[in-house]
Amino acid sequence: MNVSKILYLILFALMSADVFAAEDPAIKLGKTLDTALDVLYSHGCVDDGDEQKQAKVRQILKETYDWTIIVRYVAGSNWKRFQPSEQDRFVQLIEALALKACLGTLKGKARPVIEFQKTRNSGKRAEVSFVVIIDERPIKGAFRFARRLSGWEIYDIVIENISFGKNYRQQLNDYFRRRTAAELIEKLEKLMKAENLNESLIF
Amino acid sequence: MKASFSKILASFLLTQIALFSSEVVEESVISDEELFGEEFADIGPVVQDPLESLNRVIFQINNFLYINVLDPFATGYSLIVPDRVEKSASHFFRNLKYPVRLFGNLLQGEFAGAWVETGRFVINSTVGLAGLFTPADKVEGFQPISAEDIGRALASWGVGEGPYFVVPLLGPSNLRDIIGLMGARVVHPLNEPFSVWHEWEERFASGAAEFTVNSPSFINGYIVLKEMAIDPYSSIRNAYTDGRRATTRKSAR
Repeated sequence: MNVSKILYLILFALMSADVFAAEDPAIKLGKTLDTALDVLYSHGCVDDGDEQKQAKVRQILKETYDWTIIVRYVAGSNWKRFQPSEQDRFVQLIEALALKACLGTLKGKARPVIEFQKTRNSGKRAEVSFVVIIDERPIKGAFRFARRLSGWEIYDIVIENISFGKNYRQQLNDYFRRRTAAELIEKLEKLMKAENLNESLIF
Repeated sequence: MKASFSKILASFLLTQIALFSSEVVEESVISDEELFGEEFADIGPVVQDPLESLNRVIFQINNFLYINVLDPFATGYSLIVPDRVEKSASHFFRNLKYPVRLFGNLLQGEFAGAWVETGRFVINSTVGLAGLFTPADKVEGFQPISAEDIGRALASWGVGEGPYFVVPLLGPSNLRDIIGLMGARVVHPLNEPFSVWHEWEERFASGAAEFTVNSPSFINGYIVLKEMAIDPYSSIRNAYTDGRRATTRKSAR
């Protein structure tokens, strides 16, 4: 091995570490959202019902991002109130309800156009701001990312200045002042039934 | 001998670099404690809700009306009325709210904003056929800006938001925004006391038409928040307050 090869290897290794820190999370996010929107709007999926589409979208998102991070962020210090089995169930329930509500906003509407704006990257965290145009109405928002060993992971979503994480955490703080984690799981399960969410397709 | 020395040197350097790189990666990764222990330093003061019991009752009544009356009504309206007509009707009523946005800007000393709103009103009212269309969107310097209102102007003067209220039919608000809403009625051309309509039937009809036009977007937002919520009352109260605090902070800058 000559000196030039060694230098190339050194350069490559240093660049890999640098790329890890500098990668723009908007790129992976854009591809993921595009794939998810294809499921909802492409002719190939026209025969799928809402639940099948939701299950496919969920799978796409799950392959790219870890919902546990979003839900743990939402829970904050309340996370410790759940037993380990309850934690898993809590993640599933929040994921299902949030997805159902988000996809519900797109029902009957033309494919939304998402324009990514700037990415603010502070090393360990990044924020990708965007404008989504639904029915010609622009809605501003931002995805917040945390750098984990698996790469950039979403931990919060902000829509029109309302943080998903903050809003849920405030609700949880209020809820746990009077009730327990088991009661919360029970309540969310009832909500799932009221929303007619089919568990076999979702989980 | 020379070749083996190169190999040893290469493996030594690569090991060092691998260690260095993994350290760089680990240092740039956020820990559980940092991420999940965050206590929302920017959460601001908690929402003052001394009338929570009463507010929850009004919230339930509103919720019943929204789900059983407004939602079917808004859905029917969206189904029957073509999208273009729906949008034009929405533009028309938005254009009529120009005085509210103008005063909102002027009361904050935002003369540039007042100028843009005035320009948009003139262009949309004339070229845009009484505000049915929004040609101003394409005119340089007159693109849409954040809609100011009197509640935001009061916030920029340092008036606190006061206690949280759920207003029958209208939904979430606070004392400052209710005062702002009353101020907006004064300057709105279709509302009393200075309404262009003289008969109550005319005022009622125009109010009902505006309510109808705005109902689909309102109910959509409401249902999304409600469906996702653990406690819908708390979710909507906090979402309303956070949204208003964020926009009033921008106004106060």
